[in-house]
Amino acid sequence: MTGRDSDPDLVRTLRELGRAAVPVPEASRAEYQRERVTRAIRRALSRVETARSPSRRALVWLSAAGLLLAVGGAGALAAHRLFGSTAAVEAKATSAVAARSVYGTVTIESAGVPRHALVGDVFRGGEVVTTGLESRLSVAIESGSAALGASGELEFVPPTASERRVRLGAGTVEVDLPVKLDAGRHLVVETPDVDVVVVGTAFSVGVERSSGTVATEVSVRRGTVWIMQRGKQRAVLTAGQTWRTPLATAATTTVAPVDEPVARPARVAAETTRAQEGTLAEENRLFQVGLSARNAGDALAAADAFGLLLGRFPRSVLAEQALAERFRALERAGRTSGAVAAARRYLAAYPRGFARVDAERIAQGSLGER
Amino acid sequence: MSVSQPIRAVATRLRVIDGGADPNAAGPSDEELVEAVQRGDTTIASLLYDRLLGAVDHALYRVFGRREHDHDDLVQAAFEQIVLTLSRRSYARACSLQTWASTIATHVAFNALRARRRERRVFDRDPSNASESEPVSAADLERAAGARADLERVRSSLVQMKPERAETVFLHDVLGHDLAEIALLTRVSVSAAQSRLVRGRRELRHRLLREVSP
Repeated sequence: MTGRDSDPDLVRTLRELGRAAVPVPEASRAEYQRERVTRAIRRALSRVETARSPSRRALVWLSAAGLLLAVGGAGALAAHRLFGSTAAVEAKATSAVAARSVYGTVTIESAGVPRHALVGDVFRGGEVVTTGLESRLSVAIESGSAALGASGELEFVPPTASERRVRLGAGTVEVDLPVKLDAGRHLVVETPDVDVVVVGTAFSVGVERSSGTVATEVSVRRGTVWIMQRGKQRAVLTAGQTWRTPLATAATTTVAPVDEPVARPARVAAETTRAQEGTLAEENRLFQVGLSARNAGDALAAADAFGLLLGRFPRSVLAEQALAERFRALERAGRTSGAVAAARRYLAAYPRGFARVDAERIAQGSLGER
Repeated sequence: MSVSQPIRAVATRLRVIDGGADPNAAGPSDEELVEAVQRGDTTIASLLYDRLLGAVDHALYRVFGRREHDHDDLVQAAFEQIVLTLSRRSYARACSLQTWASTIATHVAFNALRARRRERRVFDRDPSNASESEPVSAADLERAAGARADLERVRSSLVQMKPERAETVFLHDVLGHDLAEIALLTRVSVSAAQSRLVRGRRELRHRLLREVSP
């Protein structure tokens, strides 16, 4: 059967992989894991309880599909008669941008009227969003997300059939488009001196203002980004590359080599320098201290260690994990307000993070359930 | 008369002790657990955890070769996935619940490994950073290190392969499931599972050879 192509050595190695002893986990760790996972199972089961039966769900879907078909067909026919076929494309392009998470002080100004941003707010174009210190706004945009960092200013421009545009006046916006936009469509992040054009990628754009001059910095995590200036292509960046306009002379631009560090704002530069000096060992050590405290059942010490790691190395590769561990530790320690704050911070920084379900539960104030 | 004497003697030597019996015998059957999940009965959370933790934990451990810092997250993700698939009635009851759970955990683990590769996180995953590592005796440290390096190469190559092939090879050769079981678990015919296994082994062998002699 499978013997014809089997390699005895390979199969033996694979069998060895299956026979390797699995050590018994520490009792304290096992207890922590049991408590945490059974709680997660209960939550998952409670969602099953409210789910509709398959037949009913199918019926609902069929009804909805029928209704949509009828309404859509009638609407498309009417639109085609009224505006021609381009109207359908316009309708597709104007899919709304909606606030996914709001952390701290976030203000929306629309038609000159300011108000506080709320989760679910829709941006149809013309709104200007500003974030305060330690604040953050995350929005669902196209098929992905965009997050405006602290002390930022972002304007949503009404979309067209081929373009979705946002204007970054200050601060940093992180964009992640996991799925490419439809052919002929693109997203533009406009800064005072350049346009950053993408069709599907992950990148961040920062604008720094200093005594009347402006500088833009673009960092690409995935995919390809075009930098346009006054209608001309100035650079094409790929994953791992960073580009910036010099602060003093915003008109002239240079493309930084991939492995050559570029000038950054003072705080970022300091953190980067520290990272380059080899802080990974220290980051790992602090993380390990937190894990050991957690496994020993000392939730407060664990929360402190993870907090220390986050405070000292906010851009650590362990930051997401540490923040998740911190809000869980605070929850276990009964520090409700601290846990809620840490969970909100996690959601603001990682709206699609691995621990979002736990963070959402805690942020919504359902501590101590069941 | 003469018969009762040995029986009494045996009875005095035997006593009931805990453990050793089929763990399922003490609680509800797999069937009852599945029905409870489909009803959304939250009271069986602990029972489900206790019943399936071994299968989930072992599958994750075998994929990664150790319990890493996010092991608890993966265990949680596997259990959430198990509840989801059971509630959607994807479990056909053709294999044991433990086998089903180990398949789901394997899938979760491979997905996590691929995600890490995609993210290209340069992360210090040396043994000292791992929470627990395989025990190695001091006497044959060198041989054990060589064997472990081989296993790491196999793991690394499996992650780079087509997901369905890698998982079939893993389920068959590492976890020891038979082809009919794998076919049921992965919802393909037995011949398709066999084809994946053969092609998977061949691809794995080629990758390993290429790694040795680039």
